[in-house]
Amino acid sequence: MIMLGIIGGFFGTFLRWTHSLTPEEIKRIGAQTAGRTLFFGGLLFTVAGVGMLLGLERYLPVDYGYVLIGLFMIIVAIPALVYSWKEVLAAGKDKLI
Amino acid sequence: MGPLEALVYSFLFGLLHGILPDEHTWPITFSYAIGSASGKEGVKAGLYFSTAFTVQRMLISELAYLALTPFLLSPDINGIVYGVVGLAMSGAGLLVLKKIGIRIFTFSRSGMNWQRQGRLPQHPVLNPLDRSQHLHRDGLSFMDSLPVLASADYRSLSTRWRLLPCLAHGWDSYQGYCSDWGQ
Repeated sequence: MIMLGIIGGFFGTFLRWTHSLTPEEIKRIGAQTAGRTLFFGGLLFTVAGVGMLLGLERYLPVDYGYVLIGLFMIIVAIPALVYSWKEVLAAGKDKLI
Repeated sequence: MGPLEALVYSFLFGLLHGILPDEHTWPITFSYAIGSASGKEGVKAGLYFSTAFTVQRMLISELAYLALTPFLLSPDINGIVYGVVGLAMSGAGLLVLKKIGIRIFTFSRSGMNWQRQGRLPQHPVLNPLDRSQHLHRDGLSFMDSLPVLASADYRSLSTRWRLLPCLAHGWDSYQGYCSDWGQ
């Protein structure tokens, strides 16, 4: 509980460290990243659940949960952050033009 | 080992486990914390998740005591739990994206299309003097937000933005509760 609170605080302030973004842009990047991570991560978890029901974990040399969370970070969470970041910056540039 | 020593060791192991990436640690609270875009709300995201998780752990300890362990540890139950947690996450994600006006997919005559909305909706500029704009900062809880969701005021995009953190905490707790049933 304590560690999740500390790490949550770290992630919450993470976007504020980039001084080039306005508060509105930070909120938008955060909300979009959250939405995309949850939506696509949820799909990944559902697929993993079906895989587990089919007995795929027997064929993996490492723990199924570690593989899942590794995939979650690499193919969902980080791309969602980068994509949302770029999208919001591009929208900001459009507004200036 | 005495009870106090066991408690200290448990606490230290708990801290260590919190750092390690897992399906019920920071990779999952990442989205809720970063979505809050503030350190305080990020801490809350972690605490809501772990509180719901702790409640679930208390329940499962009691069920284990009642000799349901072999049933709850079967891979089939794990698979079903993963599926339920996944659906909870996707539901939360869709709700968050809908609130901020981002469409993941649309339906058309040619079938379902994955589509990115061409132009992002504008985030309303908050007026620091307008108290009505600070529903969340004034402590609106998830349950308090539900009647507002049903009201006509909810149609306003600015209201949706203000309600977002309240909804996120509700889903955060819900997912925290769901996520450990597979453990």
